[in-house]
Amino acid sequence: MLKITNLEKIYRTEDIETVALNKISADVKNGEFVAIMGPSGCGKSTLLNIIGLLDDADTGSFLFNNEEVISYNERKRADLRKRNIGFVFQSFNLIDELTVYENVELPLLYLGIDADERKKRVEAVLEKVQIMHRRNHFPQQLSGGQQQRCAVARAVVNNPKLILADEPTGNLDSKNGNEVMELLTDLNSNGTTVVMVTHSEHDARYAHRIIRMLDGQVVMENVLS
Amino acid sequence: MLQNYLKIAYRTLLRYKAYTALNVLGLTLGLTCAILIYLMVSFHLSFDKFHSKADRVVRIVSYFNTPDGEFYTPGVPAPLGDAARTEIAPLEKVSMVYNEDNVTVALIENNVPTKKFKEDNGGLFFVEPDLFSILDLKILKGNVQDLTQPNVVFLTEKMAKKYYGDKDPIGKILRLDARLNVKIVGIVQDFPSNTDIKGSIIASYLTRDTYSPEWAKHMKMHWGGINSSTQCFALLKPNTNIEQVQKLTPAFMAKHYTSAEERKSRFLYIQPISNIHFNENYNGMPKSIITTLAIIGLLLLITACINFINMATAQALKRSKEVGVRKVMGSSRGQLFWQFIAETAIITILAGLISYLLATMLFPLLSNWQEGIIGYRMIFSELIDLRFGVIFTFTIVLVIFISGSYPGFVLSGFNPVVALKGKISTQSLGGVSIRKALVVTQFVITQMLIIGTIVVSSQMNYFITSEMGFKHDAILQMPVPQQDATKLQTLKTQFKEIPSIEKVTYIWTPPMSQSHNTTNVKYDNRQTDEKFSLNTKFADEDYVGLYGIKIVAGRNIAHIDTMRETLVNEELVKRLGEKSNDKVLNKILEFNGRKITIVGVVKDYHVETLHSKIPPLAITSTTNMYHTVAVKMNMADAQNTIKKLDKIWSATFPDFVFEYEFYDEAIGKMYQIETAMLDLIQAFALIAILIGCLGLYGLVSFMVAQKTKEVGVRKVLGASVGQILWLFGKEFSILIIIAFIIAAPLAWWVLNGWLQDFQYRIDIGVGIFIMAVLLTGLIAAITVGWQSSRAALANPVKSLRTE
Repeated sequence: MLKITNLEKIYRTEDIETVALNKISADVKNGEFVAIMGPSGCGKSTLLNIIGLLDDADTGSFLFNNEEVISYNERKRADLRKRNIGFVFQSFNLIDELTVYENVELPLLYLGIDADERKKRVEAVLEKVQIMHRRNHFPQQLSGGQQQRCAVARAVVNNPKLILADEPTGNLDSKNGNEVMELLTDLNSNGTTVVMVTHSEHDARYAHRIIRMLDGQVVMENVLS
Repeated sequence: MLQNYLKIAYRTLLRYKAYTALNVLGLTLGLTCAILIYLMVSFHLSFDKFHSKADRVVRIVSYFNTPDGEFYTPGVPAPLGDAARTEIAPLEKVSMVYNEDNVTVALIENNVPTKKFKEDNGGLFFVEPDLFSILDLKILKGNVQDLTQPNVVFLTEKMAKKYYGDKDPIGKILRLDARLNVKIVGIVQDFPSNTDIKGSIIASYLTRDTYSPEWAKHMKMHWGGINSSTQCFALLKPNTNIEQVQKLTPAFMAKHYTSAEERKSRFLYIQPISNIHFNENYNGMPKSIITTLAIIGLLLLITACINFINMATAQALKRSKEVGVRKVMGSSRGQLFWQFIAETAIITILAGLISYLLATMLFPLLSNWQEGIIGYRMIFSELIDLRFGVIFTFTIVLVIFISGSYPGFVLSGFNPVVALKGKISTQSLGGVSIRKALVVTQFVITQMLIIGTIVVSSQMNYFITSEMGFKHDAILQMPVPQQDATKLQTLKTQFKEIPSIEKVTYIWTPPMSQSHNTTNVKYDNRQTDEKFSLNTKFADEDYVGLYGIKIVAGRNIAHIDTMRETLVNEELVKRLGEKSNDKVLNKILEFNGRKITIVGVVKDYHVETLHSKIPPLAITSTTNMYHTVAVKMNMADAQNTIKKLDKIWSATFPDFVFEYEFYDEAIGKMYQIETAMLDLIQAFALIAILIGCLGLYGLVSFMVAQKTKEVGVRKVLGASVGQILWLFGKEFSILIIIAFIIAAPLAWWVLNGWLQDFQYRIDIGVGIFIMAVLLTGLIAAITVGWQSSRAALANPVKSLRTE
């Protein structure tokens, strides 16, 4: 599904160059659950952002479903993103002014789906993550676990082929963290590809494969049984 | 999607209440002023445009080309109307009109006066029947042909109601100035507020003969004299253009003026009706005041928009997470842009609605104020029309786009990764320089208005305090309705018996006034008229004493009822080419058809407002020109003194209504346009400053929020409160100085141009500019200081913890 080759990303300020990704190559197959691990600053978040088309690489190739997307402009990226990718963040990133329901509905709005269909899909996904009873609450009225479940619901409401999770349990206690990991695993077993950045060995064990990074390069891959 | 935008906009605005309130307030102030200014400007632009034949209606006016320059008057010689009617072919209709401003009207029942009224604002209007074909004047009762009779009048609806309530006034008798009975033969519709051609009692033009027999005897057939209230309106034949008619006027004039001198100096100008309201040469109001207003209105709107942009952009940081999330969810930049435009639209429309309500509430105040100063009453409902609706809507849309597009552009351009991390910095808010430029623009506008206020008020102050060459305090002036020598003598004696009255004099007009009588003059035994015209004043022997005018040579005029002796001013001596004041004594000055002996020379004093130079002047006595009696009084018990004056005056002139005016107030009124301008500039400068302060306040709150950590670190490292305050003050000080560098020359240029209208004027000194920049600094310091001191005084442990 994803194939990156010799991807390079360098952050430049006036007199410092920071190599975030150093000619990195990797691929992710359809239906795979991949964890990316490594110390802070090794480039894993940058990689995730590039995969999610939120950021662009300086050189290299990135095939998304066999299509070269490296040269896509902002509009095409936004389009590809909203049809194919769901995001889950460490800090949830729910919009404070919108209710749970409205937050989850947002991706569908950008896809231009009609109101009846939206309602059906949002309610279904809220049931699935078990926060239907809090649908009219605002994010700040929810616990961390509930907020992350809401964020997961938002990430999957448009049935994306790929879910990108950036330390999804980083702000959660272990119980809530496990629940979120179960959700992701569940989604994966239903065919959704998951790529997750994590610091947690425990979380990484939910994945099929672990990519370990250091200084912008892949240093090791573990395939888990 | 739109619903979603509106929902989030509504919630965001509610969440940041203070920000919303500041924004709405700033925009509301700007829009309210803009609406009021628009209404006032469009009122003045609408003058006399409503006449259905307006494109063919003209006024024939006069101008003189003399060695002293050009002189203009809206008046024409009295016989011009009849001559033009027959001799200028392209004129379809012609009507002479005459406006008598001050008239006492008595209602007559059984030949006895029952009630008296003083009509002093465009009261008595003599017209020929053709005026009704030229202008859109509607007769409600009566027949226009009645205006071919003498001693008949039409009343406006308002006057009919005032005099007779609901009773039918037709056939009733009015007595004008206690000397002429006229019959009411009809009612005309009230004149609209936006016309310069109006009256309240419309008399047939023939009535003027019986009303002023002196005029009928001397002036009616006389081509030499011109009274500015004797005017001529005409309707051009269809398909005639004004230039064609204008070309016919020299031949027309040549026919009626035989001397080469007159032919060279006298001209007619065919003035389109649309030109009347704003042509200053012919007593119109200065268009500059309307232009100034429109510009100020625009500046206020710009300030309000800048405010909005600054505050919205500053606020943008708080929205960065939302922008990030929306982008991740697949929002395009365009969708985000429109979302922020929608938010701006909500604020702007809200502000627009409040502004409209505020404007309806404030409009009567503005209208009263204007009526008090320049005598025009505006009617709100007449000004709110389709055009207003279109312009108002258009302005709102424009404001939405001007104010919303920059913040929208900046916000929608955030990189989602950076935005989600909350790492959007001030720098990434689309160039600090743009926002600095906006703040500078605001300061420029504010400083220009401040400089304008200082300069205009200094000039006004100069008017009031500068030496005019005569005394004007504690002088009370009353009209003299009848020039009867015996009556006047008795009145003077009786006035002098009041202990608090120090002096009494009869005059035509006081030393400085707006009515002037100018005439040709011949000196000594010179063969021809002098090349300049002479300003003449009529007054008795107590004039110089009462007004404290200094005689520098010769003696005062004696007590004589007719023109035999005259005083002249030093300017006249100079213009006559005499080396010393003594040279003119006992020489003959010939004017108004009489030979008059010069008995004394007075020191120059201002005869007109400080707009004009001091002209050559002669002061002579003649009872039949005394229209005013002036008294110098002890102000200790003024009310009581006025009561006594009233009693004596009313006994002397029982058919008239007593009225009085202090001369100081009358002088003030001569500067009404300047006063109006000052009032307006002051009010709008204040509002501009207020809007600017709101913007600054918003901006500083944002800076404080941004620098919380920096302030904490600096305090931990030992910075004093003063040093922290300077952290915020520094940036604004630089901006104020840059703004000053732009504003100062611009303001100097505009105001220096304005001052050129005055022959006597202040210099725009450095002090004024220093004052302006200090004032702006002070205002900014207060606004900035209040917010930033909170940051400076905050506990650093707390501010560091929040990071």
